[in-house]
Amino acid sequence: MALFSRNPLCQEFFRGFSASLARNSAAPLPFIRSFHTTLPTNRVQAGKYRSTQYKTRGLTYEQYYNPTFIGFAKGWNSWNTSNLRFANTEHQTAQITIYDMFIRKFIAGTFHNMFVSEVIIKQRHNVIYIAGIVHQTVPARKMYFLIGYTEEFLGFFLKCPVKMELQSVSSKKDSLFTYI
Amino acid sequence: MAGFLCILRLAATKNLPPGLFGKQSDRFPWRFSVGAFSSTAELQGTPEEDAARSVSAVSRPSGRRVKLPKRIVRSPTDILDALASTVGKDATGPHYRYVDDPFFIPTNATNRRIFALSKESGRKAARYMVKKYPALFEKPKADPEISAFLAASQLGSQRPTEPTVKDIVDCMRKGALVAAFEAYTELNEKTPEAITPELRQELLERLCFHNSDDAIDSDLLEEKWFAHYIQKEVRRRWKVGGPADKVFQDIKPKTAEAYAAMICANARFLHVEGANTLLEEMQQENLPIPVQVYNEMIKIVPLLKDSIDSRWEMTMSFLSSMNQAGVAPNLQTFNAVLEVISRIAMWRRSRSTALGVFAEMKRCGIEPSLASYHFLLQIFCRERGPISHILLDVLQALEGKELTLRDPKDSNFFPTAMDVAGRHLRDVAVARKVYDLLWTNNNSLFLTDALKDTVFHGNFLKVLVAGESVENFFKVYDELVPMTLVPDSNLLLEMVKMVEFHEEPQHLPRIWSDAVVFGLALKDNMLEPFLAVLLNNHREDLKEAFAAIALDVKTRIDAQFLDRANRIPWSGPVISSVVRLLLRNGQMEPAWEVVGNYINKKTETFGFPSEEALSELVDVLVAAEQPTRVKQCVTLASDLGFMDLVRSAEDLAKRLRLPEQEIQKWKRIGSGSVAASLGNI
Repeated sequence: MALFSRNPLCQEFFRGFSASLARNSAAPLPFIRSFHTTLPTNRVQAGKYRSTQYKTRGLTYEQYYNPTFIGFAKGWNSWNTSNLRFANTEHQTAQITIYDMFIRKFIAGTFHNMFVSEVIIKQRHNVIYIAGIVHQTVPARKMYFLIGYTEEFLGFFLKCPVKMELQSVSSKKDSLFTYI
Repeated sequence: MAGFLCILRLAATKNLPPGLFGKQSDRFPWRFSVGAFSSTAELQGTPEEDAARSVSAVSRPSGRRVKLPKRIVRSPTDILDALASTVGKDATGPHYRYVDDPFFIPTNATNRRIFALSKESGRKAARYMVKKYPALFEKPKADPEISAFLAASQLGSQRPTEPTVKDIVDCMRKGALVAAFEAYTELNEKTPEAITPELRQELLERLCFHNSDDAIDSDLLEEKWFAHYIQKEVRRRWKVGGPADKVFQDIKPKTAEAYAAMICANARFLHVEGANTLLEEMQQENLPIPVQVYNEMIKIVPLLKDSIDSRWEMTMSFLSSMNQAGVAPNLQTFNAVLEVISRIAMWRRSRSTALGVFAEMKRCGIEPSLASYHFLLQIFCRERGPISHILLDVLQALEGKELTLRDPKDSNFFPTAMDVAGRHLRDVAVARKVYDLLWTNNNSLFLTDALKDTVFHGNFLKVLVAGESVENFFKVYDELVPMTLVPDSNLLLEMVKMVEFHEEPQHLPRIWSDAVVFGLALKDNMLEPFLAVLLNNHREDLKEAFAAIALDVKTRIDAQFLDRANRIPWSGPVISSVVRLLLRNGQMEPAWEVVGNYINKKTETFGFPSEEALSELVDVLVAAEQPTRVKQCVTLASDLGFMDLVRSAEDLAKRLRLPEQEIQKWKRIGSGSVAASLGNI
């Protein structure tokens, strides 16, 4: 019970539950006081990182700001016009979102463990630009191979020119903004 | 609209090529019409009043009619061209093919090539996947469908089960000629009547053009840029009895077009006997010979005949038979004749004949192309021939002209012109003129591969190095290096000489750092002469910088991996120079380390340190009172036979205030056995 005490929704739920039980029996409810073994899922949140005891978790600028800061302190990860009214991609929101996820998964697999930033996907005219910061884990010539491969592969997959705009850092620490 | 107006305004200021925005008077149609109206109405006043009156006049039904200007027909890319013409070349950034990030920007010539080709290799890998698993790339469907992005555009290696005429046409036009020929063979066996003569002719022409190979993918630009395809193609030999020959056999009766395609291809791929035989057959059958056949035949005259006179005779016989048949020559004909003349070395009449050809060209009303001038320069400016200033006339003739590619060999003009300006005339002003010509309009497109680009810019810098002041040279150098050109060690050495000649050694550290970045610093043809120049300069304010260079050399040579295949070892002169440069700046420890490593054979070395270096080191060591090291040096001197140093051993020992016993031992270093003297002091 104490575990849920901070969450008003849970408090409401348990209040109702105990009340309905109380109607049937006047005895106190032993199971409510029992030991709770599941993970405290109520503390899991999207888009926010929990701080560590000794402030050792490194966050990039992007990760440091909550999703509520999108449009203020940071930008979007996908740039396209599918959410604009009367745009010719108005009805393709779902499709474009799915393909963006496909691109992200493809990049995660092709540039394995190299991206230290989010993968930013911008659609301009008929071209898809994939931007991001990579870690210099492999020599530049191999990186060029991957760039060429990705551009051509995704070009044939999505039927439009795909271009990569990469920047690089020599150490992963270079991309960290703060520690929490 | 606002953007478009902006472009027009820019166009007016930037002096765009005529034709893009119509005539001068057509460029501002609205202003023109308003002005015309007000002048015809003879109204006087401020421009605003004029405009207001004219507008009201338009709205009056009885007013005079406004003349609308004619619509200017523009191509779809005109606006892009106009925008592009407002953007110059960025000397500070890498070429667009590279990623603009320090890690990704190539700093030496090898990496430039490797990076670009790696990217292309990645593209090819992706295409391989597309070819192998086309089913995976079917969805999502594109709307509208663009054929270049469809997996089917990569097919061609896949053979249709039942080939049709459409398959042949599709494969052929996509450039998949091997597949097209397979489909053709199958269809020709089953239903030869289904194949029209036009189709056969088209297939033959395409097979001939590509020597029966698949066409080179026009999307793969880098390989073309770095591999110098044009030269390779010349070296490729004609496939005798190959697909083209077979299709030619199937054509019955033989047409003049079929013969023409075969003769051109045989000549172009250097199968000269084949070309000659086919031409004779063609003549026997009394078929009309088109001008292209004559052109290709004239080009291979140097391969058919050996002696000067017979070559010219044969060329003339082709020209006179053209004349008899009433075939008008074109630009390629004249260029072919000029090429023949340029290939006849040491012919007395070559200059006058070439000028005759140019006069004839003018008579025929044919404008010479850059290739014609390229051959002209080759004829007039031979390496061992007398100096000719014809390049100046050529440049004058080209001034203000918009150049277009009209002959494949046009791209040779700029490297040749720069070579003539540099090595033949040795004239900075002319070289600058050629350089400026390259950067006017879109002329830089004439440098069609990496080799021409490097040769052109390398030669330009070499002229400047020889004839310009240090300051002016570095101005151009900073513009071109390293983004446009990565210099070779020859150019860097020339720069060192220039700096030495003008007595401005403050530039030497900078040349060194460039050499390091370009991966040329430790090259043996670079290192020794460079260090020698440093040693010859005794500027007090630079000794620290020079010592830093010497220390850099030491660190770089010692830091090489032992298992590296092309390791650069120490050499005698390098050891001496490094030691002396370090000592000049009072850095005894690293200097001793170099010599000490040599004595203890810790480093791989060719040659031995010089006497000056050793005695300078000994002096410093004595001053620092290091008898052990001094003794090792003196021993080394006795091994190497530097007797002056050995003779001074006793003095040195006295200066070090060693006990009498030691002094006697030191005296014996030169005379006694070496092993005996190596005992402890």
